[in-house]
Amino acid sequence: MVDYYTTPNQLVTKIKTLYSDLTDKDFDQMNGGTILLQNDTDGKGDYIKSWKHPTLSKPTKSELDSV
Amino acid sequence: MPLSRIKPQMESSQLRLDSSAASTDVNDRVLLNGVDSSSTGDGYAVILEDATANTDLSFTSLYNVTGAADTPHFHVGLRANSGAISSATYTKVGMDRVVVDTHSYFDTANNRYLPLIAGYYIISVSIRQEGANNTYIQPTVYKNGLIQAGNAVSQAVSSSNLQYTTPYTQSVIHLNGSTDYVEAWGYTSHSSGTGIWGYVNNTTRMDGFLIKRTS
Repeated sequence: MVDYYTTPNQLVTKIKTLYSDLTDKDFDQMNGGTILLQNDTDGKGDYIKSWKHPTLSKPTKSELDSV
Repeated sequence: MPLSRIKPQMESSQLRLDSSAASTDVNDRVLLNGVDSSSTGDGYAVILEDATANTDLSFTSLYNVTGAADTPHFHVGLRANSGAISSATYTKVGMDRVVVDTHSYFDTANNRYLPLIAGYYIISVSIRQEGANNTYIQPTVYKNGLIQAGNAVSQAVSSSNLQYTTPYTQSVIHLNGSTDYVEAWGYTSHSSGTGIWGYVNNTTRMDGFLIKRTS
């Protein structure tokens, strides 16, 4: 089940609010980023494509919605 | 070139050289509409023997070679500026303007290039940032849904922000001619607001061409 966020910046802002130590570099795959957010430009919105952060766990939908 | 070296079973519009004939001589050549003004047979040589009794022939000209049109190439872009692009989120570029697509391999419904000729392709993506407060832009080539290549420009190389900057990435990618496809994606970061990708002068675009067939 993929959870989409249609408002621009909504997903990345929620994740950074949950984990305040994260920076944009953590999402940049060409700079060793371990979290991949994507938008397929199909109208569905932003979603977490993969989460491979070594210490932080992938947030649940309820955690994201609580932010 | 002696007539004995010309294979007798020629077909229409073909000239076949008999590989079983005696070894060729230096300056043996095939001429096309040659201006044979000297005893050496100067003219518009297509192939030319460069040494006696070897197996090599030199191609003297590849200009306007018939068949070059069979090399797939394409160029697509945007009809208008994109919608708002989230920060730190890889976003597919919705290419909706096909400028050149020699073999109709670009799938406008899915925004992907899926060639039906296997080989190595040069694929390029550039993205123009129209939005202000942009600090980082990374045009990216995806192959089969996975990141293949990217090249970033950051605020460190710009005086303030990267508005109107158009970074570019290019890669040689093998495509199998049946299922492999490539897409243009982008990644941006902003100090505030959102990104917008510009269409002006076809600056946000993807293009590519086949450089070597593999089947």
